Amino acid sequence: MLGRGGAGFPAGTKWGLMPAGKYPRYLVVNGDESEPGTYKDRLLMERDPHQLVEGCLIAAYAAGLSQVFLYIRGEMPLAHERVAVALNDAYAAGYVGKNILGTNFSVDIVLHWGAGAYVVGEETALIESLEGKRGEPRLKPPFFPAAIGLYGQPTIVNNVETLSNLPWLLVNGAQAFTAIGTATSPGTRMVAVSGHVVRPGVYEIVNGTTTFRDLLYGDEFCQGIRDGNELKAFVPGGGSAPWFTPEQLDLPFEGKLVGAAGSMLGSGAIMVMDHTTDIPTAALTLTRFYAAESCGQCTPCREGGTWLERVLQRVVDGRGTHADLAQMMEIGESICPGAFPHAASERLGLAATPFPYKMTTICFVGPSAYAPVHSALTLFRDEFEAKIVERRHIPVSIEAVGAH
Amino acid sequence: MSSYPWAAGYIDDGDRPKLVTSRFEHEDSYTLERYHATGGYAGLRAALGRTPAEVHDEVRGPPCWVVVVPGSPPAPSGA
Repeated sequence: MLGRGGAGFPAGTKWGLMPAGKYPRYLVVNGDESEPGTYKDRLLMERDPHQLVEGCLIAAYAAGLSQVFLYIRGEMPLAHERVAVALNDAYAAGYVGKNILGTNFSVDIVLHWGAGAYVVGEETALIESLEGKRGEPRLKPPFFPAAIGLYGQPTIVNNVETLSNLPWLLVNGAQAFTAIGTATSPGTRMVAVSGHVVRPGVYEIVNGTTTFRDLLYGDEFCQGIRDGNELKAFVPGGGSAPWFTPEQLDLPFEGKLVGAAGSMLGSGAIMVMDHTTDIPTAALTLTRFYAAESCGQCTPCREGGTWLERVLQRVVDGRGTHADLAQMMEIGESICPGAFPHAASERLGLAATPFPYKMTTICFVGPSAYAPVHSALTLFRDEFEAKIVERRHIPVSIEAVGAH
Repeated sequence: MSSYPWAAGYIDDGDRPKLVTSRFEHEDSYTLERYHATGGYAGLRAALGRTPAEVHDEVRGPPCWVVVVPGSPPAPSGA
């Protein structure tokens, strides 16, 4: 059972990282789904809150935990309401609380409402927020809160979708679970597709075997690009993931393969851009988000994200220079030194640079501000050139640039 | 049926396994009554019938080595 929150870390292995004999130990449920393009956990909480509660109880039992904290993003009031009612009902029915179903197993579940900060999706920032502090990621090491987490105690942080899988897994068994998907990516996963497809939405797909082409063009999924347009690019794993182009369509939802191809599956959000998309503007939209969501702790993120946004805005407005393009890459280098992941491009004669990247920040927010800039500049530099040379606004097509 | 007014955005066309969205077709999928009617809390009962270590092993799967490289970027959110 691989975690579904972004890292794809094996859930059972994570539970085993807690030091022996140290109690109390906590389970924190990360329901602070905030990655741009991602809206699958919200549906799971709104439509099947008892499944999540049951998953929490199974995890608590297996890992020897007696206290669960369910942290739900502040902008999801219906999810909060539904989970609250489900918890009350589960307490009343004897599923949660003391001596559950007549056994010696006892667990309390506390519901906590977030305040709407993207960075709190990072597990140590979420823990800080739960402790009543400002939601800022903690310095590493320790790399995992399993060692030192909430209130300094061993803490497991699991994603909503990860825990929602546990009831099915316990009823049907690991063998049935691993029979779906591949050996390295078993089960299903939820994906949220947005952008220029005929039928955007949330789909539960088979992990490891479904390809991006299946998802974007399949009749049972997104049914192709809107208006019969051409696919230009897509973000395969949430706003912070490096972009792919049609050349990567045949990759399956398999973390290792996607990583080697220069991106990540991340939070399961796929954002699709057709050929009418103004690439620099699309990059600006994402970079602006991450610049605004920086907690301000790390200088490369706080200053770098802000400057990336300002310089990119200037280019998009048609007031940029070639020096601005070089400067954006230089700013990015200060956040992520060395080679940054990107997809291969036959058109450009580029080989892929695999995931992950190095970074000078505590968490991923700074690199996330740079990812769209780097992808757009690496794969669609001609569109930036057009903005600078021709001072043109949308739509800037590759063909038009080539003809210039 | 491919989508439901009460689960806006969710689409379930095709004959695929549904591990976490099997109840989305029911308008009252969020209630305890529906959860019971569709096998809810059977996983917890199954877990309580075993030892915590057995449940842990069931989720963890076969033993494997996990290499954690210091300095590698953390996940965007809880795994």
